[in-house]
Amino acid sequence: MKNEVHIVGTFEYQDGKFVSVDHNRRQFNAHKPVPIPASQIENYYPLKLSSAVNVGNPLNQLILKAGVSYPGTGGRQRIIIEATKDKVLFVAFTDAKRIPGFFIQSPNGFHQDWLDLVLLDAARRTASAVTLAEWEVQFLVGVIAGGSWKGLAAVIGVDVLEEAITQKKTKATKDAIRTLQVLLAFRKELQTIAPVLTGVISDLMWLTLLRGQQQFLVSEMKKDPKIAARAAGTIAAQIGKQALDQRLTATSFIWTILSQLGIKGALTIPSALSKTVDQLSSTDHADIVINIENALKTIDVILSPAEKAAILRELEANSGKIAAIFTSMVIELNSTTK
Amino acid sequence: MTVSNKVRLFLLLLIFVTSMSCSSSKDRQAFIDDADRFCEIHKLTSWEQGGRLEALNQLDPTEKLEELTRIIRATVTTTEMQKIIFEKGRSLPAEDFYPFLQQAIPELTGTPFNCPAIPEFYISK
Repeated sequence: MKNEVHIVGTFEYQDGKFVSVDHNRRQFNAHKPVPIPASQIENYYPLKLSSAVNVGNPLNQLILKAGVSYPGTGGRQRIIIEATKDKVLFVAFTDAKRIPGFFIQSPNGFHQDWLDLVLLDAARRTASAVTLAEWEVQFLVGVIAGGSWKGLAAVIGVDVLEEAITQKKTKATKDAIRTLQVLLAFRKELQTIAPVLTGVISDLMWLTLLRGQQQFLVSEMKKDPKIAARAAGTIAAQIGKQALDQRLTATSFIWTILSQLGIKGALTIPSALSKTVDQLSSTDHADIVINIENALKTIDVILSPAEKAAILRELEANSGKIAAIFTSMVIELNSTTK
Repeated sequence: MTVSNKVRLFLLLLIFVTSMSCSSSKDRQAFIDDADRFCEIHKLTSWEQGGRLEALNQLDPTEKLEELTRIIRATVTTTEMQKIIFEKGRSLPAEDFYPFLQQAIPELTGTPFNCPAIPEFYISK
């Protein structure tokens, strides 16, 4: 996996037809923000979460750092997920459209956008929105994280991974990120042939990993509602809004554990997954469904008859492929975290 | 019109012109003071005393933005200068802001406006 982010070319309408141009590169060179597809961030590893860049002179300086939110132009809030001397990667969303996205910009360009706000005297117009926007950034970053392992690493990493690096646990940190990457890649693969099973297994998997720690998490969520906001954003993307009401509580616990105890939890994933795979190893598809159902009951999640029937159909239709995905995932995880 | 009336009219005109002149001079000084304060606030030296710079740089990016805009805005007190700096000037791109001020401020102050600290502040390098 390459540690690079490519600026993607764009098309412009010229002389009655669309032609490929280097518009985005030109924009980047002109210090303007350029959108980066989420799929690129997904494949970009590892994020340099602990890096920071100081831009400007002693008076107008800014320290650009992952996890910090910055007021941006056009009423946009920006949260940096990586800042190096060459580039700043950030998440931004508009209040109007509520669509978050990843962007890349030169550090000087990012700084200039902030200085433009000083020039525009925009602080008095954005001041009241800052507190609210922070909540929404947390939630939206969570949503992005749900669809992208790298976004997930950003959410967890800002709070936990950086601390771990400070404590000289770099290998543990990398292992945890890599593990999460494999899990989400697995989920993506399984999703195409067994969507219902994927949703259920996601819950089951996290439960298996983190059983017994829910008590701790409840109090953590109460203490810091931001954690709940992040978790809710992640869950919304992970299991879909339809299942959100039913599974919010249990999955919130799990994601909050990852936020708070991410490394410890993630590092236990391979062995815990092996147990999950064992539960799925029965040749009788109906038994597998019962195993899943029983496991879910322990977190007060009740499978509906329709879900059970759907999982059974998925297992019967693609049992060989599903087994192969699980097997390769466990092999991958074991080799990754050795 | 009698001679005494002419004299009276002349005296009235004289008083009017003198008072206008005094007022104009007073305004001009207020404009000069505004321009000086606006320039000074963009200089590093004006922040280095009393730990103001350290305090400013300890703020998060949003707070720093709020603090800078609040303090910079407070340096300009006259309506005419506020119009130039905060209305006309701030609608321009950062690189055009200082050249515009150099052209517009002397129209109020009657003296050249030179303040390299302003482009140094507003243009990222």
